[in-house]
Amino acid sequence: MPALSAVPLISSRALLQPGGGDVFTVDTDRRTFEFDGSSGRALRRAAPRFDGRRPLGDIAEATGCDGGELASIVAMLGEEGVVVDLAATIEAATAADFASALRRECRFWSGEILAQPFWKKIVAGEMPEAVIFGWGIEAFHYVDSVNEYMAAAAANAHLEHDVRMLIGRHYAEECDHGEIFLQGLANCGFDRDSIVNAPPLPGTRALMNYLFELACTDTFAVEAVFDLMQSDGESLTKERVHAFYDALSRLYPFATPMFDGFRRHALIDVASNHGETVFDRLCLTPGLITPDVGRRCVAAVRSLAEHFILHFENIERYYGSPGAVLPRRPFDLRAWL
Amino acid sequence: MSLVLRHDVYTREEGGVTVLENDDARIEVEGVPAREVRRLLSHLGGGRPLDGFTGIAPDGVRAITAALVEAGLAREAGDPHQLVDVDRFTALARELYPRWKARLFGQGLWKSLVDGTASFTQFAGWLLENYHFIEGVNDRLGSATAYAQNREARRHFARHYREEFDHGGFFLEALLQLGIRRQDAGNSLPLPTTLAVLHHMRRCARNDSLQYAACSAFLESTGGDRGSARAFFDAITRNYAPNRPQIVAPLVAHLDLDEDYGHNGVLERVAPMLAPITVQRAGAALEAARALVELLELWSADIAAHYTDPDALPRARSYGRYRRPAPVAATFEEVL
Repeated sequence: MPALSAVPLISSRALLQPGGGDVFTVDTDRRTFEFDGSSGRALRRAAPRFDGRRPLGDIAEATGCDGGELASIVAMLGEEGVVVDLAATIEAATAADFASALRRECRFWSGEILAQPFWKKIVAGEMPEAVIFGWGIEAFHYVDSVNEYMAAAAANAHLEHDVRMLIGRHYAEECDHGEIFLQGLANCGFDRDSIVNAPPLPGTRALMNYLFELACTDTFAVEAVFDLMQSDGESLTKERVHAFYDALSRLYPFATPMFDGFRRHALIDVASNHGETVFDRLCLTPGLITPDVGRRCVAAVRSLAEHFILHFENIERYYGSPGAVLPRRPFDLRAWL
Repeated sequence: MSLVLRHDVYTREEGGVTVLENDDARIEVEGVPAREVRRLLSHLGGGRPLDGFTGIAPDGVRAITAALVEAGLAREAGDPHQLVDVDRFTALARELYPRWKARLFGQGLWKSLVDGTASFTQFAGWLLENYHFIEGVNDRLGSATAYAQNREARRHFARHYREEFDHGGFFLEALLQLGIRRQDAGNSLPLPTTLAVLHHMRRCARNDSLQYAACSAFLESTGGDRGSARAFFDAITRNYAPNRPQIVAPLVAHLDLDEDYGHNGVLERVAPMLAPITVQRAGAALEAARALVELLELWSADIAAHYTDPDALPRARSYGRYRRPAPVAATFEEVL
């Protein structure tokens, strides 16, 4: 159970609804939680303060709620991924506890990324053709950028040989995956060179450069962020991948060949999900994950989540605008002089 | 013959006609499916001959490309490895930058700061992110100096660094005057777009000193325009600090110092040091500057969006507030 030092942040996917009497409902896209009696009364007062900025003890004091009761509610909502305790990683007693707290936090941030309007419109079939293809082009740039950031992570990993081999093997498995996306776009009629030469959107470039900078400066942090990038790995199955891309192909039939590329890539990810990540391995090595390293890893994960939000938001904003160029073209001096 | 199309030409369909346009010109294409017109445009990257294009009859291709050339939207592609005249290159940059600057500063956050429609939190957020950006001179100009392979260019960047490395202090002073504590400013988290601007410039510094100089020249062209900058500071003083001009005074002092140092004309100084310069290299430098402008636009929009929420300042305690989708906020209001 979280202590009173827990710092709860409630998911933006949770709709908080006071009902009649003492009833209080927390509605998510997966489940609805109904609280009654003293729990309902406590949540009415406390839930709006689950904003990731103050410890549970302070919330209990400010709202006059029982701290123990709040802690058990937060524990239950935390199990369901509705609330995350932002202090859990920092307060972890062991490196293994830290690793599992970070994984929980990554699943939470992954949910926050998917809660953004971009994804709601995608799955509702509301995105225009330019945004769908723009998404594909930016996805190509992002996936292809493993040849920047994963290569840099391998180049800058000054750890024991076995760990470096894990980092190197991971990169080696991923280095050609951009080609899958490129082929998918080419099968939709796009000229390959025009995709390769298209400047990434600023939001995509921000994401790629952030990962690269991390890879050059902090081996632990760049390995930790794979927990976010692969946070759906545990629940990802072949069946789910097929169902998702079948649905997208029905909604956007013009982009079926591109989604086949996305699908192929996701299936490779499913097949290569070996459970233990490089970061898990680092956490198991005594003495490596110091409190300072832990703080850097957590900060990197949270910042990467923001970069992903920016990336998807930028795709819709740019490719959904009337002046969008698709595929984008770089500045070429020959067109001017 | 192969043609190269300007980067900013976009297409749209208007009543059965395909319109090709940018800010300067517009042409209309009738009787050809829009999809084929777009495919033709993808072919105009300067690397492939036009007669290899299929999908539109040769007469149609000739008519469309002739119209593009006549409108100034495309040109015959020369050899990308040819050397460019350095003066022509820098003159083109000086022609393009004011237009890009007008686009950046004429809208969104910047316009709202000038006309006073931005909230006080947005003003404070703008100041805080500017502090991070100016403090980031150590990230970007340090990189430009370290990666420069040309000794003269490196000395230029080193001098510039020596003059600028502590200028974050001007913005910190402004933040202190605003009531933000030193430790809160220091511990605050830059927005991802603030980091992105710095990371982009570091990338340019790694790629080529010319790319860094082209970006730096864009930034300095904005600071070097003394009249516009002073008018901007007058406006924000009027709108956000009418009784506390000491908030904006450090920013004006920073502008004065930059002017005294002569931190403008960096491209004119550095480009000749880096000659000979090919068309391809010069184009990549201007592409880097164009990408910077796009990033600065995203940065401005990010500041305006994030600091709409008064609780978002400072960012050290605001994880989870970044683009928090609306439903929760609305629900919170009901609950509260």
